[in-house]
Amino acid sequence: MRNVGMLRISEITGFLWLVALFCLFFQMPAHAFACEGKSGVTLSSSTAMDKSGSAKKAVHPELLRDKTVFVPEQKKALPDSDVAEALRTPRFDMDVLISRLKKSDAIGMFTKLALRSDALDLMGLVKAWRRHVSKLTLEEVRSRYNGLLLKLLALLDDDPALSRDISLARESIWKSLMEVKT
Amino acid sequence: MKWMMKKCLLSGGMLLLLLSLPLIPSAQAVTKSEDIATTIILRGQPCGGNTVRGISEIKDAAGNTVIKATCPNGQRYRLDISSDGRVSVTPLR
Repeated sequence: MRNVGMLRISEITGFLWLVALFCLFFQMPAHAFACEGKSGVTLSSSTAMDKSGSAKKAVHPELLRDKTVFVPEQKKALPDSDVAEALRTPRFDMDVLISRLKKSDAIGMFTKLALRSDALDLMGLVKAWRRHVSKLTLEEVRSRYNGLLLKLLALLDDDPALSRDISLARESIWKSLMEVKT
Repeated sequence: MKWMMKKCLLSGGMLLLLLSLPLIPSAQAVTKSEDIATTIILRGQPCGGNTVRGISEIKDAAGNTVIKATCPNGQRYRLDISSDGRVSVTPLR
């Protein structure tokens, strides 16, 4: 009888071990140490991104407040060409990205200030290019932007979620930079 | 019986270890020394490492900050942080 009891404890422990292992290996890339609950509420932003069809349903309200979550446009609301365009260039909120960057522990305060200086310099270059004052071509300005983004992504090595979101928003940031009015 | 006990204890121990994993912080905040070294490297200056030593910080009434630090390669740098947040790095002789 004691043997049977011990076997059950061992079986339960083994089962828990397997469940924990499953959670760890299949949820770790999403940087969340929690599995998806029965309620359908997903606790990781990347998982929410993958499920494009039911993105709104899967996204946790707290994540919507704290992080930038890319939600593709609804198919019914837009024509096919617009849907394809929306999927190619996901929506992003520049203010949320900046706030996440400010809060990130992966970069120190002085480094953030240095990056801010670089970003302001780049905006100055864009303004000068628009006014035809700068000798730089658009390709050269774009290469400076790419260089700055590369530096930022390299520095965000310890914050992969933010790094991924900035990387995804690369084209959108460039477009918004080009749209900045002087 | 002993084998069963050992197996149970081992499984329990591993489970406890696994459950304690989320308590271990994945990334630690950057230290001031690392932050200054990164800023120097970001400005294209050679540093020879990712930490600095001998940090001195002076802040004036206007809000400008001057930081002096020595890199592992022996080169001393001056970081000027203006009140509006502009950063410049100059090597010291």
